[in-house]
Amino acid sequence: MDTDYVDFIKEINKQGGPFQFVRNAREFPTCSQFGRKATNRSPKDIIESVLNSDKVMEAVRQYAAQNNVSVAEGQKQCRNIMEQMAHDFTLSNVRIFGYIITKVITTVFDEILVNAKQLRALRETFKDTPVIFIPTHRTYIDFLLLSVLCFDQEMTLPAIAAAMDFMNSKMIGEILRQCGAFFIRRAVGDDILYWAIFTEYVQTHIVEGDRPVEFFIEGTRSRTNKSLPPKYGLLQILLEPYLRGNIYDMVVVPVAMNYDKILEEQLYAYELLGFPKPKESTSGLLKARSILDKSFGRVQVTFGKPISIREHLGVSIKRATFVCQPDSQWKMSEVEKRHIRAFGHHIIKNHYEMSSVSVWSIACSSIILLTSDAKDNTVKCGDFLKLTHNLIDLLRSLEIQVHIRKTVAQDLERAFKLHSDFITIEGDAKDPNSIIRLTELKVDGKKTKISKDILSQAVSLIILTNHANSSMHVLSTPSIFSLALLSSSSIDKLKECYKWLRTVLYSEFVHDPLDVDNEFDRIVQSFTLAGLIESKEESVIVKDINYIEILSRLTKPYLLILSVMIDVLMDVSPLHITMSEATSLAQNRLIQLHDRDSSVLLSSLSADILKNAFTTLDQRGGLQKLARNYSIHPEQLNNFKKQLTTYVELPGRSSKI
Amino acid sequence: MANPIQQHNVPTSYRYEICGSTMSHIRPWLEKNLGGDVNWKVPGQNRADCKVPTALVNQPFIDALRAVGLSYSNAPDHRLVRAHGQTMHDMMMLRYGSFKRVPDLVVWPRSEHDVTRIVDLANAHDVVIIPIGGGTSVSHGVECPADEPRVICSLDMALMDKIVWIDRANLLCRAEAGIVGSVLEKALNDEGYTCGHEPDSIEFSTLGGWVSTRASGMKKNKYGNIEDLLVHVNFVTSRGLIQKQCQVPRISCGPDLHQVILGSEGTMGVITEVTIKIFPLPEVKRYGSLVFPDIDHGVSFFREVAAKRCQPASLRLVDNQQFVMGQSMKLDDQSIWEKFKSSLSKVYLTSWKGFKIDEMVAVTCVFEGAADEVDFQERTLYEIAGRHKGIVGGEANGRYGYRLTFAIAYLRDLAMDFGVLGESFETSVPWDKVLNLCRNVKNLIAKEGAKHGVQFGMLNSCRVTQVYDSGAAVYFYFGFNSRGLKDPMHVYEAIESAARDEIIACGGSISHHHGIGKLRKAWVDTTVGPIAISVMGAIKNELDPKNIFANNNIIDAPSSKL
Ligand SMILES: Cc1cc2nc3c(=O)[nH]c(=O)nc-3n(C[C@H](O)[C@H](O)[C@H](O)COP(=O)(O)OP(=O)(O)OC[C@H]3O[C@@H](n4cnc5c(N)ncnc54)[C@H](O)[C@@H]3O)c2cc1C
Repeated sequence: MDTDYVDFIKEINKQGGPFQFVRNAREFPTCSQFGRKATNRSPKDIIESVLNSDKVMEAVRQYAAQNNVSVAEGQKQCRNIMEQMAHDFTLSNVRIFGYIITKVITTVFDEILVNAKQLRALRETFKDTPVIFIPTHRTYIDFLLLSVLCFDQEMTLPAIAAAMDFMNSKMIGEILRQCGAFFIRRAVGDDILYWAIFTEYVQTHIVEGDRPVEFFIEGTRSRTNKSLPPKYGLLQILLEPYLRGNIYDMVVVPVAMNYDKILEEQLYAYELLGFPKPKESTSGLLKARSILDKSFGRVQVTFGKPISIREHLGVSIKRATFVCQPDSQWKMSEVEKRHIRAFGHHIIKNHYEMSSVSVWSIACSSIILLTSDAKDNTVKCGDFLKLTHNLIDLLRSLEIQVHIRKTVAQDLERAFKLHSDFITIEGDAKDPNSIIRLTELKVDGKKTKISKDILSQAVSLIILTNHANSSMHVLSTPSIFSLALLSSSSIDKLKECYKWLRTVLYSEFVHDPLDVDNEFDRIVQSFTLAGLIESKEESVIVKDINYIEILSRLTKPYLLILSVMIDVLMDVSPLHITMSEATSLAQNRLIQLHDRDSSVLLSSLSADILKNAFTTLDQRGGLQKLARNYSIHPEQLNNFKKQLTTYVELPGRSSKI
Repeated sequence: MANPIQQHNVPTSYRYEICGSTMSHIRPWLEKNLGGDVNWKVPGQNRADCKVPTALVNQPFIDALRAVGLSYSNAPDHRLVRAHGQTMHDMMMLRYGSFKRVPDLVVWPRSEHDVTRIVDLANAHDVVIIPIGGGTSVSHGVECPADEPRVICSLDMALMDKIVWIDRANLLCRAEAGIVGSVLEKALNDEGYTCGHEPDSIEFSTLGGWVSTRASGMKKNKYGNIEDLLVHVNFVTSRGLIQKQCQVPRISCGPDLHQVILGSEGTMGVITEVTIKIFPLPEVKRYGSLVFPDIDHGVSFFREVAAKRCQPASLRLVDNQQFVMGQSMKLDDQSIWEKFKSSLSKVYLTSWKGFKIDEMVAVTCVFEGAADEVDFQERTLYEIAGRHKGIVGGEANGRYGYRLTFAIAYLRDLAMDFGVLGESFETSVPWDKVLNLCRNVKNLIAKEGAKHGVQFGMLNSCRVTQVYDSGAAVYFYFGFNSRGLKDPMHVYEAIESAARDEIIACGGSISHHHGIGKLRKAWVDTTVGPIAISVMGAIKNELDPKNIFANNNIIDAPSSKL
């Protein structure tokens, strides 16, 4: 496997360095699908075709009628929307900005490993079939890097569906635009003009094969290093041209981009603690100069096996289902939507499979476990090493391969060096009594109600958690299963518990809900093979309670947070609340708990986890969305809480707060 | 007995004469485009060498036929000829294989009365009847179900070929169902009339065949399809004769049973006599042609013509491959075609803006009517064409276009000598899906061909042959050279079936006019749904409780008979 990867940084040096790299002549294929002429449309042509399309014209007519304005007015609005959205790809500018980008990434990263052959092979594919890249999204380096790699492999650079927040800086926005990024609003609502333009814009790129399209199925950069639930709506828009027969096929390429260390790492941590999000302004990026002095380790980019949509959906979605609808009135039924969702999860699964489990991420999990064990939250090197090795062995017995680059010790040594900005070993790393300590990072106390002290501890703890999270895609299943094992022993009950927990924790650990039965069977099998459990007739006997407990503790805190959230909501009166009110109430409550019980970690202050908890309660009927806020349904919350207590002791052990 | 038998000789040599000039050019075209090679020929066996299974005998039935003086035969060659239609599969069986099941017996009724007697006897003796007209079915319509244990009797309509009367006052003609299209048309022409129904198979297909398959004629824009032309019909079933008491232009009397008889494909009874509309012969018949820069423009032109309802008697759009093929077959040697290409690009590049030799498509049309009417039609049409970048290509090209499509239908035998397998199939589709369907189906054929190892190029072409208010009919040709393929017939069938799936996925129908037969049964379920199937089954069961008309077309006959 590893032999398929080349180090892109070495490649660039071979080509004479970044400057020569961007200047070298390259030939990018164009897409001419069977029976269609290869279009050579300029960004302006594309804009005009969108504005004149039937879909947009129809939306304009509707809009004009609904809002009592003239069609001309509607068209004017369309042009505004379009101009805000559209990319302005020009190869000459790509070369200029490409130089800067290449310079930066070759400086900040030590290695950029890429399975470049797989990417190069797409040149042939693209010649007659539209290509869609679906990468994981952790940092804005993602799409810059992908474009640079395409440039290197002479694959036509994609048009990139980027989030609007990159537009906060006009200059950066324009640069990205010229590199092929187009910008989409996060919340579209029912703006019919916007929908029509956006849909048409994305689809025309695919149908005419102007360039590959790149889109992030998670919608936004994941701030926690865990996959976010796939965005079905956008996926549907992408697949529509195939389902409608506008194109014969399209090829989807999942891409996994794994970083040792993400550039925005600290930024995210602050953001998760509820600081006002620092805008991605130019000055911010210039300050990022300091970044250039740091090292961010290795990046591994894996281009997945291309998925032909025709082959993949061919068996599940019958295009013939849609043909009674005129092209202009196209709608999908629930059944088909379900298949689209399943496809979204299929992509996420591909991402998972291409993301290896690093020694460091396991190490971070052990640090977290040990931190919550220790009264004073200190972790000793000796305990840490022991637990880390134990976990690696445990995972191996479960047939989960931890990717060891050199040796565990060398990997760890390297990692501690790389992450010295938030974690250090005090003293000699070989001395078992040395203490591993999280750095207290600076916080601006004025901007928050929570005490500075608490926050500065929390920031690095959250960074640590995010590192641990990067292996949760494989650890969540055994962990949730272990939680279930602790509360039930009959196989039926076990399955029921497992499925319940899976759904309750869906927002945290994304998985395909339709696959959960298989998932259960597989995990039972692997636990049995590992000797952790034994099945006797209808019941399951735990053989190694120790490990089961350790595993369970990786996900248990999330249940605890759910139950804290419930408590908080039950205390509210009148029974109305907004999500951000609930989040800050819960944060306060968690800080109190932490004071009393050090096993409650401050990383639980993360707004992401709290919002997920809130959403879960909403989905479970404990809340109900109203126009401005949510109404609280105490009875449902109470029931839900009762179910939760099967798995998790109430916070603060016994005391009622 | 000699007469009716001759009529069923497979249409080959006769046709070659008609299109003699085209003939001499098909060979070079085959060589260039489909890997035809004089050194690699796969001549078929002599027809006489095709093995014919021995006939099953139902002596009481034969005795009964003889008793009432009905002519019949069980000679192997008579039976073989009536065992098949004109599909690629049929041709392959004739040339290289043999049929598992052929009729055991052929009868030739001379009147409706004869038909009634035969049907009664069949019911009495449990004999299967398969009606046959011209045997031009391209859907395995006349083929015998391989597992039929009963005696199968082919009921040949050839002797029921008389015109019963011509009604000048109401412009109607009544004829026996076995009359061959061209014979009917000739007779009407002699009286100053035309029936206007002109399927490409007109030389062989019969009036009864048209009704039973829901046929469509080239000039339907002016005269209508068979369902528009049909005014009255006699239908002999196992339960007796179905016939309306009146012969009126329209009737509101509950669901119309004519619609059940139309397209029944021999599964419910025998069409014996038909009254159809006739029309005075048009004063003028003129051909025309147009060239468009690409198929998109051609289709948008068609769309507008249909929306304005100004389509002439016939309007056809051939895609680039067919256009190029036609042009290269027409010219005396290939170099002239090359010259034509280069002159075209030189001379016309300025005036024919955007025309490219490998993208342009052609439209052919037939105008019929009074002189000034035709003039007007022509002007209107060309005006619309101008708006879609169409350029008038002249009458000779138009005439040639029709001759060519006519000829292609009969050239398959020759191509088969070179190992080329080919077939045509058709569909109907709403306007907004025409282009997608054409493109995707051709793409699929090309991809499937490559997947199955086809090496020597493919004929992969379509034409839009009919316009309707809400859509069009599309006709595909596909062909490939079987050289180097292990099981060409399998390849052929796999492609054909995948193509039909694709047609349906793209919004096309199971068939516009060829019908279902046995070839397309697999798609009936999804096309009409289970309830419609059970209704069809119930009607069939009611009319033919013993399943005498067991050719097994369209749907599987309901198994339980009370
Ligand atoms: C070269 C070629 C070109 C063609 N072009 C066209 C075209 O332009 N348009 C078009 O619509 N079709 C076309 N066809 C298809 C075919 O010619 C039609 O389906 C035609 O209507 C069949 O008539 P037939 O007399 O040959 O019927 P047959 O092939 O003999 O029979 C067809 C079906 O009808 C049944 N049947 C026949 N006669 C009777 C009867 N009297 N009573 C009850 N059942 C009966 C048979 O059992 C069988 O199931 C073409 C075929 C070929 C080979």
